[in-house]
Amino acid sequence: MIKFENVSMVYANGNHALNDVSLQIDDGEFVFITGRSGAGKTTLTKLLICEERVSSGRLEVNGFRLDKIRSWRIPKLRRTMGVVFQDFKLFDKMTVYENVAFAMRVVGAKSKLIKKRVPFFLDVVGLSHKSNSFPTELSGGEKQRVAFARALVNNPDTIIADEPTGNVDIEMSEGIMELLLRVNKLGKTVIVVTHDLALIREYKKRVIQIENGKLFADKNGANFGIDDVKAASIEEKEDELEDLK
Amino acid sequence: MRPSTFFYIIGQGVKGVFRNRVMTVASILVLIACMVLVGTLYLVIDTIESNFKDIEDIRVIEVRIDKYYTEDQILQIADQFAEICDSSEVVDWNSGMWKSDILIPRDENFKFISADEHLKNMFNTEEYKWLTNVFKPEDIQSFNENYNPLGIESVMMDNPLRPSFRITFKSFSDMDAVRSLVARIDAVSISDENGVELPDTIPTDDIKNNVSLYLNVMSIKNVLSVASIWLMAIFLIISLFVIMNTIKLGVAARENEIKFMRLCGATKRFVRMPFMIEGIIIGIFAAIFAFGIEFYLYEYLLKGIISSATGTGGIEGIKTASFIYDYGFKLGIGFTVIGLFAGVVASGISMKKFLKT
Repeated sequence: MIKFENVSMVYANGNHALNDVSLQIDDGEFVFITGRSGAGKTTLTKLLICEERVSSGRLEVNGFRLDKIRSWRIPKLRRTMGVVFQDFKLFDKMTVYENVAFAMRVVGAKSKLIKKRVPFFLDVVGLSHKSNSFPTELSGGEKQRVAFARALVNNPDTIIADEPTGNVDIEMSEGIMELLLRVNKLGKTVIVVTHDLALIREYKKRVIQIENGKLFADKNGANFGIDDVKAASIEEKEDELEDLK
Repeated sequence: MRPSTFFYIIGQGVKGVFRNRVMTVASILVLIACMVLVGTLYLVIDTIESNFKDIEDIRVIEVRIDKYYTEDQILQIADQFAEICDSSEVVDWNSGMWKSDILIPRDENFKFISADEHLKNMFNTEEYKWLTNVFKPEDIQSFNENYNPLGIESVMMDNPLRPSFRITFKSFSDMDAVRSLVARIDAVSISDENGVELPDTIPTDDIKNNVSLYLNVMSIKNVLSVASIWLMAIFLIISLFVIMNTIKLGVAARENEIKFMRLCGATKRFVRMPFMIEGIIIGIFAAIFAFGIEFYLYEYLLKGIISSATGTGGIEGIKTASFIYDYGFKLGIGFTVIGLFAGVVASGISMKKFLKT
């Protein structure tokens, strides 16, 4: 379970990235997090993986209190999560197999387990035949799938995908979403950070909209539309006017 | 830690060594320079010390007494000397301070040597043994028959040497003071460590020169000791900086990898270990090379210089040791400790900053 209670995050330069955010994501949920650029989506995901620390409020993720967590427990928290980055973060000098195995190796997994799980997850994402290829020999979609295999291979409780369909065509994005839904059906919590309004509307899952560091909307994707985006824009302009007055 | 993880970390450390070959070589060279300099100074200091150990014997004044003294009279002389020592306070003319307590404890400072003992010692010298080895037994026999028909025993019966007592004192600077005390004993003459009789008046230039030479060499040794500590500290700091830069280059090359490792849940120790292994490998390599260079310098260069100088009469009788048996263990351990220290500390410091950010 992920629980934000009046969470605020202020950067060292004084920028208020998140302001008094309260929300809850239950185990096994599928959630879209959306908002315009600079709204605070990235900060929110950084807080989840403890890349940034909460300035105030209470944040609980998979049984860890992140507002109080000791630095030596952070690796344990991160092992409960798999992250798929927008730029994939694959290592060009490693093969597809080595890239996926690397995620297991760094958490001290047994060699036997690595040899068993890596081929399985490459099969799950349909890339068994490319295990000896290097990332530079793969298409954008294939890279994305390698990144998914790597995020899943340590059997995390929560998957966070940052703009998973941002760099792929429509057909490929459908494939990726299907993969995420399959993972979700296995009982994993899936958090997808996206700008893609069509994607949100198509899959009709819960949507959390962050604007100006605040929780702007929390509703079902079926009811989420262009009006919500416009409303956010109007509110921002009203805020700017207030500031000018 | 699982064996597979252990070997993975070791493998990554070895890869790191070869990743920045130029910087790795630079680190090893600087560390070698540090070790060789410190090691050489240590060897020089130890050679000086071991050569001057024997000269400690000159902290002894031997007082020859007339051979007609009876044992009771000799004991009286000893008592007289002890009394003089107890009742006297000796002025140190250099500092202008009064001081006492210049002799080592009474039981050890006063040793009586009979005339017979002196004679036996004479026949026990290396020179005498050498002569007996060089000359054939029949030659010695013929010598004895012609010049000394009664053998050594006959000499003992009519021993021309005189009995003596030896007084050991604490420091060379006290020699004149001790001699002035001895001069107060009635009916004795004073000789130096070589048995050369000294006039009653003091000081004697010969001994004074030996003492000042010893003191000068010892002060040079002390300067070298202090210099070696400072040089080691300076070179160690330079080595640390070079190794830190080498490790930092490795860290920079693997920045994304390390970030990803941390996000996957790798512990700080897991991230740090390969870089520590890299530092340790650099340290051990430097230690091995430094040991080899030091061996060459001592066994071939230093010993060569000493033997050639001895041959030309420049330096007489300088004692050297076996590098492997006398210094091998100490220097091996010392270099390894310096290497490991530099490697571990440098990698630790460079990683600490990175892991914080």
